[in-house]
Amino acid sequence: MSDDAALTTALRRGTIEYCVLALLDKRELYGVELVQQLSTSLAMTTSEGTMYPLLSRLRRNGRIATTWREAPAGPPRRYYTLTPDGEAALAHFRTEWVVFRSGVDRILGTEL
Amino acid sequence: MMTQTDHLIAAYLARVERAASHLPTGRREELLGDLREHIEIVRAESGTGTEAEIRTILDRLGDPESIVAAADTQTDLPRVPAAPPTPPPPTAAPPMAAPPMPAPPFAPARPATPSLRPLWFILGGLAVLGVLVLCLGTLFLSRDGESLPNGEYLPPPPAPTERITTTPPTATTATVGP
Repeated sequence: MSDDAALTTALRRGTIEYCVLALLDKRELYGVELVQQLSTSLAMTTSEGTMYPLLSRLRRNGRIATTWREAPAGPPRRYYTLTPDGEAALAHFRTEWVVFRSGVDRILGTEL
Repeated sequence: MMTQTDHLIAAYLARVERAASHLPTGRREELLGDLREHIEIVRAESGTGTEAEIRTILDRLGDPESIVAAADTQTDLPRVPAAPPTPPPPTAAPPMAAPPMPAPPFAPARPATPSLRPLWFILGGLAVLGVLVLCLGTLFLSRDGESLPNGEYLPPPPAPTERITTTPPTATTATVGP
């Protein structure tokens, strides 16, 4: 793994799962939609598959849930939705993130 | 009949399965199911399903090893991170053998400790004896040293080596001199 890749991996580590929760806070999405939206936003278009283990853990932890829906074409889709636990976790992260981000920005001199 | 694109997908999923052999069966099956589902849906949405298209889908999913590495970091149970130290034996008998493994090492250790107790007493006694012998020995040795007539305190072992090295030169100078 290159240094750049290691850096982005480290930066994504604590944050990407909250991006999942935030996307599902807007509306429910099926796996492919969710993974493609995330990978496009976070420049991860060559590692979409790495998000499925994350979705699996969020489901095990009860932060997201899945429901099957028939699709107009092709196989049925499994839709991911945010649970009340997931909503609470997202709200908590939002406040933590603002504090953390502004602290880092102050130190780095990257305040807007 | 399997088409070329089916082969590509099957080969890809087989690589994931191989890389994920250390994961618990349920987690491995779930991961394979998620990836299979993803491929099927993207393929259905993209339309033509040509070989190039399938390659793009698989490229975007990423290499199987990174996906499994991501699965390794997505563990919420404390006993799963503890598994890596034990894997050496599991190579022969994979996931099912892993959980019972930690128990055996502890089980034989427990009966072994009480039987070791008498041994510790003996060892302790020997250690005390050894210290006593050492103390007495040094006492006698120091007395011998004091009783040397020269007053010089030379420990016995270094003396012979010094003699061996010093004697030959004197012998040669004695013969060459006159």
